[in-house]
Amino acid sequence: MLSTETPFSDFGEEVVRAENLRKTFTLSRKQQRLERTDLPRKVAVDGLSFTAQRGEIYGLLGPNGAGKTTTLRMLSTLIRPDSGDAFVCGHSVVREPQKVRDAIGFMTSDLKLENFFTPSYLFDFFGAMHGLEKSALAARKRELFGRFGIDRFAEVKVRDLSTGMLQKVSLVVSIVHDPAVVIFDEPTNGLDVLTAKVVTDFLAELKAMGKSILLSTHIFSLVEKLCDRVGIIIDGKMAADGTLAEVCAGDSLEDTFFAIYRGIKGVTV
Amino acid sequence: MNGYALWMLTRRNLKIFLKDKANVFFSLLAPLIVLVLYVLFLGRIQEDGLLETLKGMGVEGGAQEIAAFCDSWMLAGCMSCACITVPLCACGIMIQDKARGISADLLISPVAKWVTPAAYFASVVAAGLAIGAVVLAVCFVWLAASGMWLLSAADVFGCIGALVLSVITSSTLLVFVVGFFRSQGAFTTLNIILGTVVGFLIGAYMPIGYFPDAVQAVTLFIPGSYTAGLFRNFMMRGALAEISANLSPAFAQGLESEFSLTFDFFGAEVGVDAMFIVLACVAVLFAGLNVLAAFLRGRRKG
Repeated sequence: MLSTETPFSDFGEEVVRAENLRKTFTLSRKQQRLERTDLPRKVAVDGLSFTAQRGEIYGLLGPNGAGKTTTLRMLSTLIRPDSGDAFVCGHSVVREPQKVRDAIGFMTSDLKLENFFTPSYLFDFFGAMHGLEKSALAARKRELFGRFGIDRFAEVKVRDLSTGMLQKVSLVVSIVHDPAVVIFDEPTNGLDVLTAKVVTDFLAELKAMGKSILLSTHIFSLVEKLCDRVGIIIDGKMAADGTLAEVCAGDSLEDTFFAIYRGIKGVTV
Repeated sequence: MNGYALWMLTRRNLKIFLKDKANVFFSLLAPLIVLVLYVLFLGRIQEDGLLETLKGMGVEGGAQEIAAFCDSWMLAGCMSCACITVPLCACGIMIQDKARGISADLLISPVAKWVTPAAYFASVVAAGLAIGAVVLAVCFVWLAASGMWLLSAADVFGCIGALVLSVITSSTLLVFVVGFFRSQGAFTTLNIILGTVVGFLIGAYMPIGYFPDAVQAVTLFIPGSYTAGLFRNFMMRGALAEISANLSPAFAQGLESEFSLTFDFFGAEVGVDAMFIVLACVAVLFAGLNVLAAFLRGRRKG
């Protein structure tokens, strides 16, 4: 059976806690032109704080350039915050990045599979990268491939798989190590409707398995369909945070978002 | 865990390189060009020129010895090019992984930070050694099949040693340089430029002695020149000994410097031992620079 127990009972219900995260980037001349600014640095994330709860899906919602991806990259230990800290399963992304990496799966909608490998090889490869024992890896492969219908295609070369199956393989490979927390950057970005459904069903399945999920998106319907909590990010700052009911207070998420956006930016969209 | 991850990642990188047949072919394009040019006209020009010079010295005959010398020179050029272009093409995986976001997946796995760059380096070296060994075997078969096998056992081992050291040296240098590249386009440009000029710079198309003094001075600072020098020494000295014994010792001595079996480094003669030392020093220098670059990149990313 797949594990539905998460190994972090010692730090309560908060699987992710971001505290005053801040990240700035140096802008190249080209980036300055694109951003239409003379400033040499851009504040991508500016004092962001929020918490995500165990077994829930938390959605970071915001326009392009709001700082969603930067936030997820800090939580995944890919980049270090300039200041502030975040805790994943109780481990600091600044002081204990290795332990954080053990606890998370980081996913994007991009397919990163070499087309001459098989799903089975890729699963074994990423399993090895996460230090899984061979027997444990084989059991995990049997379970996940069976659960997501990949078992019949395990030895088929990636180039011969359908787009939906490719996406499933990509997603399953990302959770090879049975992470407690799954971080997903723009899960349905650029996907056709059928493949997007594969992804949203996969996320629902992960939630049913007891995983805690943190995703970024700019698609309102995705948040409304999947998320238990939402954080609205605008210009690197948290503009609203809470359960959907708390944030929307009876309005639609779209109306709520644009009301907040107008209030902060002072412009009509 | 890190050791096993290193092994798996190195194997994966090597598989990706070897499965891309076009990439393997292009990695051997420069040596193939040397071979084709030689077969089409360079070989004949060299042989005719040397025989003409011998005639001028009053020595008749020697076609067999000169043909063996020129063939060995061409094969040494092919080997030297392969030691540079194969590791360069194998470095392409680093760029592919960056462009496709696979680097992030690898960084996020709980293996130590040194594993990924070390695996890239190991796979580049492995690719260089594997394909270099095949090219070397082809060179030996060429010499044996054409009846020009004049290599001693020491020469054969010397060639193998030169292959190993040259591949390690060019891999440390190229992994360092390619580490600064982000886009496939920039890498392809580097690949084309280096693939085109490398044959000239290391004297594979024509002996470095034919170039102007300034260009000759520049080639002294290119590690590939020392790779070529080593292969020439091991592959050509049998043929050179035959020329010395059967035709003219003075002529053989002239060929030795003309065809860069030894270098004149601003007055100091650079022989085989010094060539090995130069390559080893370059390897150590760039290995250090790779470690420093990885450390600084790690700090910048946090």
